[in-house]
Amino acid sequence: MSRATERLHSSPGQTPAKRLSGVDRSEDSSPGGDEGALLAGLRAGDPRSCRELVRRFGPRVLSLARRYLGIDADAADAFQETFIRACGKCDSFEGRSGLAAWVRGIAINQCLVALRKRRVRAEESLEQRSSEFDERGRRLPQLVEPAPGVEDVVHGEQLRRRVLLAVNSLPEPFRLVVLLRDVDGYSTEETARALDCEPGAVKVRLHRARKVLMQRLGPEVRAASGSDVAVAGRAVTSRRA
Amino acid sequence: MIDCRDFDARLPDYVGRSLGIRGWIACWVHSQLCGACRQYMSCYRATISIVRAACEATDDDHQEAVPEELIRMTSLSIAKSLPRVPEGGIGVDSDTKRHL
Repeated sequence: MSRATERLHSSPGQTPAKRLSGVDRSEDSSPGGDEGALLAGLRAGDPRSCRELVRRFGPRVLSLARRYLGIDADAADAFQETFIRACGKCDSFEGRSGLAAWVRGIAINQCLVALRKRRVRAEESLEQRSSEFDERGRRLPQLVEPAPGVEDVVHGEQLRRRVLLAVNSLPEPFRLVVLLRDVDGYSTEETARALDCEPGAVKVRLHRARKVLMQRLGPEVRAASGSDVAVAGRAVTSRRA
Repeated sequence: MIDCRDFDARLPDYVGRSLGIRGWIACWVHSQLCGACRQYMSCYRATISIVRAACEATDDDHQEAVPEELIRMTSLSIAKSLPRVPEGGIGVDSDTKRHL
């Protein structure tokens, strides 16, 4: 983990890569002990267990719903639908992943349903690709100028807010692809099914969205990639030697 | 050999490890020979990491409290949606019933 990504977490030991797997998430746990009792209560229709479920997973679900939907009222609706479904369909929970991952999956589905209802807007033009390459197809250097020392200036909280702002400012079709693929670990095919589009369209949107984010987060990205560039540079040097 | 534009087109699959062996080798060779693309790829990967880490940090470390009213309304909605159980009343408890 680079120092820039490490600063985004209050506990340095956490690995952001965990979430990419879609299964192995830090909040997951096997349905035993406390979680087993909660599940038993849910299956028995115990309202106290339902409230416990809401209290335990509510903050994460609300955070996720706000990220996907942006508008608080829509996020609140998706929040409610998520827990209504989780409590009503807890018999379908098979325990292959943790209760948290199961609730998270329901929440993402509810957000996608809400977005479909909102009617996804037409894709907006994101960038002028022609400025990236010269007439012979070689990359122009303006995007890759190093910015040394930036990570010493940018505070972790500021960085987190800047990144979230950049993601939220993406047009919806692009933002959703970034969230599903890069944050929630969906595959290209799963993302395409969720968004009712072709896998090719997912790839194109993802690539374009990442490029726009890279431009908008230029200093932070260059600071975070500094170590990788240095490693790559050393590797080339050693081979030449 | 592929040029920078080709490398760029294949970059998502290259960093996502979903290229075939021929495509992978072509990208790898290009990345070794072209410093600009190598640096660009580092920034591209860093972008993915930073976005993921920022969202995770929000979920893990910067959770906002769920408003009590939202919890109450959600509990009410759940209670309304659950099937009623005649004996023992486990479908809705007395506290929730007061709001129905």
